[in-house]
Amino acid sequence: MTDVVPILKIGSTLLVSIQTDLQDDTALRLQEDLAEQITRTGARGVLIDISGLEIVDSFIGRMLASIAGISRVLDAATVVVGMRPAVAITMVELGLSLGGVRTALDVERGLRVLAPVEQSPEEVLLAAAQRAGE
Amino acid sequence: MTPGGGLPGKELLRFPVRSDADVLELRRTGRSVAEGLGLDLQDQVRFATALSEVGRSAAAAGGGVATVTVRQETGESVLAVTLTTTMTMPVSGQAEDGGVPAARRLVDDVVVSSGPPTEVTLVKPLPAQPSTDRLESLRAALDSHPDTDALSQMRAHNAELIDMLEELSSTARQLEATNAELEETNRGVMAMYRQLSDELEETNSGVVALYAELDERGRQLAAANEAKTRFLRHVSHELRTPVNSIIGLVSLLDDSPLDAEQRRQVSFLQDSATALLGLVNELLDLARAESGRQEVTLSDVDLPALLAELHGTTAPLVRDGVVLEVADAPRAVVRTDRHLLARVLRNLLTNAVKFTERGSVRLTVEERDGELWFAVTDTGIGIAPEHLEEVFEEFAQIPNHLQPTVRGTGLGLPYARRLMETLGGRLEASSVPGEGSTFVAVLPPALPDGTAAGIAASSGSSAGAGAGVAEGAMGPVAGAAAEADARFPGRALVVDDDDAYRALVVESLRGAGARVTQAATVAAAVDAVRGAQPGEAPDVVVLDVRMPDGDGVEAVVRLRELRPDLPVVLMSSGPAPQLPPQARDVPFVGKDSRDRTALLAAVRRVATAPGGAEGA
Repeated sequence: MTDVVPILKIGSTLLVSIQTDLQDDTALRLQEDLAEQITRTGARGVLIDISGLEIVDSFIGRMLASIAGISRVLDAATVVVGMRPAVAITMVELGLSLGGVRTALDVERGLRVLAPVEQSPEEVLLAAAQRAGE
Repeated sequence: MTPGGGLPGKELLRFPVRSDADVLELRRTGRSVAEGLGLDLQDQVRFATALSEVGRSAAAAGGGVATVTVRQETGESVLAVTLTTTMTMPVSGQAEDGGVPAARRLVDDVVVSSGPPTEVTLVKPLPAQPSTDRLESLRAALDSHPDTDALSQMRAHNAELIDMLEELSSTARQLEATNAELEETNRGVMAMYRQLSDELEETNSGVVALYAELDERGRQLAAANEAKTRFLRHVSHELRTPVNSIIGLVSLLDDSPLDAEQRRQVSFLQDSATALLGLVNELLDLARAESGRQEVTLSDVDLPALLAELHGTTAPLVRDGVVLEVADAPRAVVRTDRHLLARVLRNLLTNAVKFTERGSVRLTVEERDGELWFAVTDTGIGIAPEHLEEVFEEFAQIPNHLQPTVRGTGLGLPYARRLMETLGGRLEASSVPGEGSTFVAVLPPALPDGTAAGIAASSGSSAGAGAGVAEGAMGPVAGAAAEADARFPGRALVVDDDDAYRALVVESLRGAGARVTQAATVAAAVDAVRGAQPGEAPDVVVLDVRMPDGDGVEAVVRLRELRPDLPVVLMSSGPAPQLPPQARDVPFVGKDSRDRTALLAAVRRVATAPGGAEGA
């Protein structure tokens, strides 16, 4: 049996904390699970914490990018947080830029990035009115 | 095993790379080795990432073998990992797509010998020459814990965490199920409770309905009883008037000249009519007793005298060969209603005498616990036990061989029992068929005066004698006094719609020497008074209370308007009417044929009273 990465729901945000090095099929499964959870819970944001990952190769990098793409299609924003410096350097050297994936340094900042998405309809209208007034 | 383009070196490790898991193991091992050989963190990550890229390609190409060696190359030590695949492994392409091109960007040198078999060797220069001891210890470390490093512990923890999550959610589900079950049970209990309380309510309303029904039955019974009493009273009144007429007319007939045979027949007629009147009177008495309107007048009764009187009245009725014994009184005086008590005892004695052909009839009086026990014992035919209570029902006649010869109304015993109850006592019977019966009338120690007064007050209105004048006129003493001077030579107008009774009154007055005119209606009476010639006007008017065209009392008023001083006598079989002020002096006489003289006395009194109406 392959390992499963747990997905926690906080408000309208799904939090994925990757604590160990991922096997390829585990990564693929995470991708499917996330898509399913977004649809089921109507989450507006996905926060992927990869602070436990020591190695991100091209496969994992592509997986992160495709999670972001799938989420966007399902009307949810994705933020990847906690990337180690060595991992970041290696990814750049590999030519992986994680295009289209927003990043943040840690979970707290990541949640702040996602926060506007959680605005209530009233707040959105109010903000739009203010912008129109300026 | 022969690394291409390099000297053979020291082999640290060799293992197959076929699956994802092997790729993971490969990059983990690569990182450990790089760390063990003193490469910096960034190089460790680079090398491991490169291994991952190549390993994935090898696994995708059908699997291969990885060999980790440390060797000397152009004067410096290098770490070399060689992946050998039996099938061709792609070695060119874009770095972004991974595989060997990606690895080329991460390590210093990638040696490829295209196959098949394909051999790819990643070469990384080491910062320092590792000692042999160090290499040995590294090899030992890699051999001994191929799989129990921190990373796999993390995996285990991860798995545990997931298990725990699973467990938690299953516990939650279980709780939910338990909750639902509890809710279900609760609903069941509530339903049962509702059902029970519904049933209870139903039973309750049933009980209430039952009570209501019982109540209704009770009311119906009381109403039926009341109707019976009313019937008896009414019928008796209606019967009394004609019977009185018959008796009065018969007595008139008796006074006229008759031959012996006619006289005998008239006496039979008189007997029969008197018996009929007796029956009607008894019915009336019973009805009065049943309706609770029996008047009770308490007085100190001379007991020995009462017993003597009873002996005297009963003795003539006793058959030949039967002894009548009346015992001595245990005390001289008893406080009760003399008339009612005498009535009860007479009824009992008469009854005993009727059904006793031989032996004796005895009346004994005993005092027990303050009560007076009057026992009438006979040696007559007796009563079967099943009939003992029946004899106290109205008109009950127990079949026996004496019945054809014995006359009775079937009202004596019921009436006696009623009277005893009115007096606060009781009447009981015991008997042995063929040997005789004993009837015991028990008087209570003393009837409280309050009770007696209450009874008297409540029954006073139906006493039938509202006016004191009438009472005096009807009394036997007054009657006897009047008899001595029963002449009335004046003019009288008799007004009554009842032809028979009018004839009786007319004959009585004529017998007393009066000149009598008659009228059947109030209107006719008024005409007669108004149209009378001077000197022909009636000296007295005898007026029936109930007339078809008007009330007798109103008639008095109308007649008095014509002649204010007109003497009037009112008569009726009913109770005395209420009189208006202008008729206050008018006496009232009951229609009682046995007491004709009372009417005469009243007529004489008002007609001769000086002033008449002027006195009022």
